[in-house]
Amino acid sequence: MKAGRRLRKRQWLGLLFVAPALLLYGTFILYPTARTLNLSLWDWDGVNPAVWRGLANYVDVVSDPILRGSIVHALILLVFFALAPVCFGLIMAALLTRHRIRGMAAFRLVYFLPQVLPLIAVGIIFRWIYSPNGTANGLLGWVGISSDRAWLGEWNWALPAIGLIGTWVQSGLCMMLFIAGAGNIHPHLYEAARLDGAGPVREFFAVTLPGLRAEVGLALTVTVISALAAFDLVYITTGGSPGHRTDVPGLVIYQRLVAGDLGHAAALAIVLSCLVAMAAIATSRLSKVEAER
Amino acid sequence: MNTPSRLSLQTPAHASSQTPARPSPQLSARPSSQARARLAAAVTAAALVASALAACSPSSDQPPAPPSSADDVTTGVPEEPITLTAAYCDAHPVEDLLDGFTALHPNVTFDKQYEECGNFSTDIINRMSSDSAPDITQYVDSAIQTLAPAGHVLDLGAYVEAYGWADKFPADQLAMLQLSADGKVHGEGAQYGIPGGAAFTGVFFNKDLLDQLGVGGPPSTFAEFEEMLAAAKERGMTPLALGSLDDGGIHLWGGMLASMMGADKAKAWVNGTAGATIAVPEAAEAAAKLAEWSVLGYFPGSANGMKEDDARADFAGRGAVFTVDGSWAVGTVRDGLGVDAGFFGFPGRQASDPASGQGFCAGFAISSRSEKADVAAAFLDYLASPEAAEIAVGLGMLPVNIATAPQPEPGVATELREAYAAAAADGGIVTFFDHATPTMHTELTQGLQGVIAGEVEPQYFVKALQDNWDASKQ
Amino acid sequence: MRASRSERVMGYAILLLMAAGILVPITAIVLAAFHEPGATVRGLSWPDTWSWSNIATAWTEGHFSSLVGQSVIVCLIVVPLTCVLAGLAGFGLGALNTPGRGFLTITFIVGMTLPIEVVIVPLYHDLRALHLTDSLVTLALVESAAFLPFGVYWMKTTFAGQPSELSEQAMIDGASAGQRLRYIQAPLATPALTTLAVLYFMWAWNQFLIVITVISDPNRRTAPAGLGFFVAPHSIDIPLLSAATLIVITPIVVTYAILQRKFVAGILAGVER
Repeated sequence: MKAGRRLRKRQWLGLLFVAPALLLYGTFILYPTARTLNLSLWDWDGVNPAVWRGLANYVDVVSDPILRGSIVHALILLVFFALAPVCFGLIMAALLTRHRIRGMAAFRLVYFLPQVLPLIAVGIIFRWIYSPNGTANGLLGWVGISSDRAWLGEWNWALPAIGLIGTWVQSGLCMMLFIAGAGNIHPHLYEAARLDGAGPVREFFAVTLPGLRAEVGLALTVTVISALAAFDLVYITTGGSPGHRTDVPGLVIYQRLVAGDLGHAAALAIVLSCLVAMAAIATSRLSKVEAER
Repeated sequence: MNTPSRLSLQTPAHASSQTPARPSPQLSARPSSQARARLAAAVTAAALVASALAACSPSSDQPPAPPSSADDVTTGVPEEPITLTAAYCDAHPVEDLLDGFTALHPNVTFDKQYEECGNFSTDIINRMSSDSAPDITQYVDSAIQTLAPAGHVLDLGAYVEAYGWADKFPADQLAMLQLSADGKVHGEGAQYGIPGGAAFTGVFFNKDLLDQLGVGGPPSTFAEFEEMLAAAKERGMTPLALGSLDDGGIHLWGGMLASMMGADKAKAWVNGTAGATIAVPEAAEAAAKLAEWSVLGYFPGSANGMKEDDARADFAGRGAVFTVDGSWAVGTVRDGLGVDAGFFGFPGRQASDPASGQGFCAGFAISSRSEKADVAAAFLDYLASPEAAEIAVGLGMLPVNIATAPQPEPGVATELREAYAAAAADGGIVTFFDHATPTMHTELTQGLQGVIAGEVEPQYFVKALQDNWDASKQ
Repeated sequence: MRASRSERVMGYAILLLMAAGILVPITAIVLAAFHEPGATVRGLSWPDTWSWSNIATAWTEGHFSSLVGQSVIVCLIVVPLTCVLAGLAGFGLGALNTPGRGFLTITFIVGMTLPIEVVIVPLYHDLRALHLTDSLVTLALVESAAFLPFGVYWMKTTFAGQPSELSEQAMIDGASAGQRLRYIQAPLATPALTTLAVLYFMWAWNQFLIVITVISDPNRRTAPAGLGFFVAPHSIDIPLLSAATLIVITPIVVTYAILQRKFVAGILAGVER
């Protein structure tokens, strides 16, 4: 920006630098997005002549129990994919800011590991953990609850079970982000708080949490998007079963695409995009507003 | 994009000490450029909307018309080297049958285009409607229902006449591959496919475990079957192996319903005949039985979390007395149980009820764009031959035409063949219920899982099926 | 900073507990891969006898030699392509006074929040019409396009944040924009570019939805997509399934372990300075 003010001259050459990326991005992302917008207004099976539906597909997204249900489920997943990891992360940060941690590099290596694994592999690991013979039932056995449930097939437990996989994946990221962020908080603030006689709890709310606003905003942006646009995990663990109880928008879009119901697939995709955009704006605004305070 | 952003935060966190500026999702631009940015966003959105509305209606190119009579087509295989493209998702028996044809006619080879079954049904829609359509495709009902009305599948009428296929293939099997002009009614209209092997479902049982129960041989009525389930439960055995994760235990419910409802009514519904309905007491009753058995523990409580494969393996490992499965399971069951493996068709209410069961045939269709349709038709004709039947039987499938096919080895395969023959003789082979509409498989799977979980009322489940059917046949 | 001893112990205990929660499932599947073929493995359990045959079986039955090869090809296209394009665009938007750069930047930022789901529906049909499906090049191009927005924004911020004195001096000396990028600003941005490359490699390796949309033949897909397909027929055989999973995650985990140390070293250096 500093340089920009001095170099008033417009550099048309710059467009040449941007053009290749823009071309690729425009061809495979922007143009298809516009096509999806168009497709969402039609009833089309991909082969036979399309029938104009106007906004009727969008009405269906709201009124059809399966389409609407997928959005509701995505909102429930928010609790597990976003809220829980952020809370975990904050608690960890609160516990660990009061002293230096040795071996942080090793912990970082471990905590980021779930972020690196393909979600398909993560899903396969948890399918096994949740199976009747799996570790989940084994752990319950330890605490005295005998169970041979297939958790991913349970009417009321399948969605939370998937949600917990998301918690597993995202928690490490949030923790590392917040611990690193807390390390950047000026030690004077803590000293001042302690001189005021603040205990760990007050210190957390007075110093750590305000100091982590930017990180919380970032973490929420990423985890919220991962919840709303979840596909891989659900596809590999349940595929929407049992009884549509784990349908999420991404999965339903793919299923409708496969079933030749492109209008509804497109309308749901557009609604999903709007939700994600709204979430992104909200979370970034949240952290910004707080930071300005 | 969703996947990228999954990790995007990691980078700033790591790199914050390396790069002076730290990217964040906020737009940290100057106020004036922020206003401009908003304008830009609005312009982007407007451009997207405009291009969306300006674009004309989605469509695809129109295919050529089919030959109208036997005089327009040539039978037999020419001498020169020819390569046909064939698309399919069931590697067996398709590849075996293609190889079998090449063995008889070495000048005809196939470009084999295999695809995962999950994607195949959509993908074949796209490929059959493109100008690079494969000459031959495996007949996938939901796809053909979409493709045939648009003229992308060859109406085989001229070849049926020229080759005399009406005499070479069983009428039941041919009817499954016929479709009305609007693609909504089976068993009438044009012939779009020719069968290459048949599938049939019924009840597999463990003879050893059944003997231990001391209840006699296989049940001849539904009531007897239920008594045996109860007896097995009482003895601490698992009466039924069931995995409803992937399809809701569709074969159990379907077999029960086909025999309760009667083959004719069931066929009318699945074929899409005008006015047919599944909103009959029997359908709710079959669903209610499923819910009742679930509560009674006749099948494992984890059924909704188990795949059909899991249940089959469990049964083949002597873990259950019965399982409802298809002819494709014969190999696994025979390997696991040996001489203890048995099979019977789903019993009716009365021992005198006509035999029935659910089934379908693995068929083949020809693209209306194929320039080698005559050779492709020669391949379809080959499917009626004893050589083709031998290949199907060798793979554990049922031959299309029992009369000309070689006998299987004695045991469960023979029992299956007999049950199938009995149902065929009584006109009792009902196409799988999930073939009724393109979305019926999902409707049935998810609905049945609800019924099994005790969360969906049987009446509501049946109503949802009929609503789906009505919406599709409009 | 001072903290009580008990607080310190508790902090480490929780860190370790969380680390165990992450490591146990992964370790369990690694160990499961070495059990006897077809064995029932219930959780974290040490194999009685180490069996390598699952890996071999999974490798051949799952066609992983071609799948892994195809994954490598896709990564070899995606990573250089996206890094170069993102670098160029980032330079154009961050270091040059390109007309309309506010609008262009917003256009790319929009792409950072667009879910993949929104493009698969038309892509599937349009690519078919152009006979572009079932091609690794198409797959790589679509993935690159999907990954670009983040990279462009990242590089833009990097270039915009570089000290302006150097490039100004270069301008006074008469260097062209291209020379500035090549000799001054790109070398300075190397750490950011390396980070981006690593990230892109992970995304390209792990991508699933785009792969199953663009490529129909399961044998012509990438390793994770092949793994997704491998599950259905082998869901009962936990050792075999674990072996296939191990094949797919090993390359990415090894790469991560190596490059993560670099990252950590960089951060430590920054802290010490």
